[in-house]
Amino acid sequence: MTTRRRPQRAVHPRTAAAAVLVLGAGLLAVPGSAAAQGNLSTQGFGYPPGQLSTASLAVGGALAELDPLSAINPAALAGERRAAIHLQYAPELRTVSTPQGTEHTTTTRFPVISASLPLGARLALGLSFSTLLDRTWESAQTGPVAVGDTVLPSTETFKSTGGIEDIQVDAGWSATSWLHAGLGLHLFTGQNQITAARAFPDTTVIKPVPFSETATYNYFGTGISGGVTIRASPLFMLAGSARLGGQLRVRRGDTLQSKGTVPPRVGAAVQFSGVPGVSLAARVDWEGWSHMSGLGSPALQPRDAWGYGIGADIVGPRVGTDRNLALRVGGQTRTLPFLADGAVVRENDISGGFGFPFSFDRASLDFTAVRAFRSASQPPGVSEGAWILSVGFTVRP
Amino acid sequence: MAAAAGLYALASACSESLPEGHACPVLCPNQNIPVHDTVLDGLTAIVVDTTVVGYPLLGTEPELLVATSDSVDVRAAIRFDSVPFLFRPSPSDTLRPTARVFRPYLRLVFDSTTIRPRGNAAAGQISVYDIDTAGTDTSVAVLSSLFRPDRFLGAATIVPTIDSVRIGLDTARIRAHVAGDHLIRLGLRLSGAVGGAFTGRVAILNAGSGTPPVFSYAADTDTVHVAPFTSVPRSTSPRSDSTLLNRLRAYPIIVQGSSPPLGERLDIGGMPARRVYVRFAIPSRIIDSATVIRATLTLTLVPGGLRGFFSAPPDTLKLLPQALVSAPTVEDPTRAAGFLAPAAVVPIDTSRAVAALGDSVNIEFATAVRHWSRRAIDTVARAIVIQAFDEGATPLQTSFFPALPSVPAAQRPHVHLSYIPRVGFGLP
Repeated sequence: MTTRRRPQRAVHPRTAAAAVLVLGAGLLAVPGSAAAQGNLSTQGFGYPPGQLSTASLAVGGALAELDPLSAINPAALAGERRAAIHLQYAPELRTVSTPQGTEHTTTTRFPVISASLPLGARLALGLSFSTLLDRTWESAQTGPVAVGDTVLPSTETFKSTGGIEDIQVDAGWSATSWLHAGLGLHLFTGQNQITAARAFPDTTVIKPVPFSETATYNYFGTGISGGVTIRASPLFMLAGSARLGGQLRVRRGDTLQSKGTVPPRVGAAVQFSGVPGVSLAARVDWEGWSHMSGLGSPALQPRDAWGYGIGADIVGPRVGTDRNLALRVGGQTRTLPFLADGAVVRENDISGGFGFPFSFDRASLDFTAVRAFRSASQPPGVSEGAWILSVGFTVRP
Repeated sequence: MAAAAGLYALASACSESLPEGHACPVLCPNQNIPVHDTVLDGLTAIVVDTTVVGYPLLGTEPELLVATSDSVDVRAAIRFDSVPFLFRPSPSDTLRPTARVFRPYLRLVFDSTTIRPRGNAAAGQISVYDIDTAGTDTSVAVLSSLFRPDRFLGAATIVPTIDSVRIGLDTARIRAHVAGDHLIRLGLRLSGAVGGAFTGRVAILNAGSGTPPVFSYAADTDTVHVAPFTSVPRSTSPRSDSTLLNRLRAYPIIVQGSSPPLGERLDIGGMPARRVYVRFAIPSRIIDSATVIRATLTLTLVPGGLRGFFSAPPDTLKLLPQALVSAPTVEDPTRAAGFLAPAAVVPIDTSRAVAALGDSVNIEFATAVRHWSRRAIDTVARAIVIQAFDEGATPLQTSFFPALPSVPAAQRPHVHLSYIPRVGFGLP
């Protein structure tokens, strides 16, 4: 059977790159809906979404080292033979259970936006914007407070938007047919806008002036990463990558607030393709979050985090005249970098999803649902569950 | 790109569900915004507090008060200078001067809430006099001497159920002015309707209101072809001062005021009006480094310090605090008290003084403190002026103890500040 392809409209690579730049800057700057910090996952400098594409998220991150759309391994870019732009939207619906009750919050994220561009047969360049740490949350508490000789109801609100983003320029090179290598340069930037406010909604007795204090913190750091992918045999693919971090500074206005180090990262993965139509993968990842300890207060003690993921990418039924539906399933376990009430937070995920190409394989849509369970030994009785729904849209002009 | 835009729109449309904070405070470290309180004695927190006189300027009163009692005699003057006097008997006629005057009257609209007393049995009467005179225009002695029987023009009874009155005027005297100098200058005086001792007051809507006093007369009995003339207050003297000329359209004549001699008190209201200037010395550690959410100036009433108050229905004197826009270089309180910040710039709530209220009054001025905290100390005076809401149109007056060492500490003014220091919340 032959497939007739429509004449492809040429898109200038610079146009695509510019579009990614604009969209990346714009979308990552969009503050998401607020969630409470009164939870386990957004302590400290925030929650690490993992820098995974929608497809990698569905397989528990197991294929991230081999995925050119995830901002993990620059060597994976070398496998890209066509320019691509990837956009991702991933709201998180979170439920925090405490002995006092249950809270539901929603957080909106655009965790990864990336573009790749092959230059010749052996080299490909990439540009990605991904969220290293998302510190978007809001907490509000209402209670009586004495104002002079009067006791009034008052609402105390703390709000944080923004986080630390990873802007990565990378290159993947096909050294041989079985060995690909890559190098990435990282700029860690971003902004946190913190607002503390106390409002007095009842003004029937007196009219107190509401209080509001806002601080904006800007992050700036650098890093470098490298990686390889090795086709060890027709059935096995190996991959590994590492990132070294430079200094990470926090400024408020022109004033340097603190310094730390961009957390280093090391990861490795193996992919097995011995079962027809099924690709199995496993990944281990370590991230040295403790290097950030100088960035916050002395009480902040980030912990290095290990993560393990397994997953399967299965060729599903054919979709129209294009290609087959991809079915994905996976699981992941990892620890989060910032302690909750002095205890390490563990996250266990199960995930699944599917993806399908359309427009004669010039675009694809991926859907992933992750069910995350987060827990810590402290505080007692507090647990957190979340649904992360990720939609990825990839264009290969 | 279109899909990306769609995703963006979808994301932007996401709803947000705010938490109740069940997991706080244990999972919300350092999230606390405490409210601090401090009380400063007037000797510490107040640099200057004094009574200021001279406001409002004559003729700028919000309403025109007429009042009488055994200790108060406030009358009013209304000028209708340059009344029209040329008319056409019929449309085909030429203009000719008025030779006769028919149905002259003065219409007044009251602020009916101010009418005291309110019992019908004790109704008051407004009498109108011709106070036109050559020479001195605004001398109280001269003007008050013109309220004589031979200058009486007319009168009307005032009862609380009415909000306006039409007072017929003496035709002969009006004709003399219309045909002569064209100046109708009327004096108003309140007295008891049945004679004898009387205590009462009423405020008349002034020339600047939407319903000013109106003088009217007809030049002919033919009301079909000759419309009556109507005039609103207008002054044509003194010609050398156009501002004063305009103000003298209508003004009070304070024959006997309600204000006692100035003393070691803070007086607000009364006739002639008084206001209080208070300049603060709020510690910089609070005003510069914290957010003041409530600032209360507590003033203690001098015993017997409420003057002119009726008890049934009870009178209320609204106290209007206002911030200033003058720089601290304007040190004279009387001058500084004229540079009032508009309520749109520094809104401060009114306070109330009533006979049964108690022995102190709280003035809330947190918005003024916030105004000061955003400006350098040498750019705006950290002071407020407290005046009667209807300053210049009320005989009610209240007096408070000043911040003097000779005044017992419990009776001195004091400042209660509720503030929130910088939270410093930011980096975890």
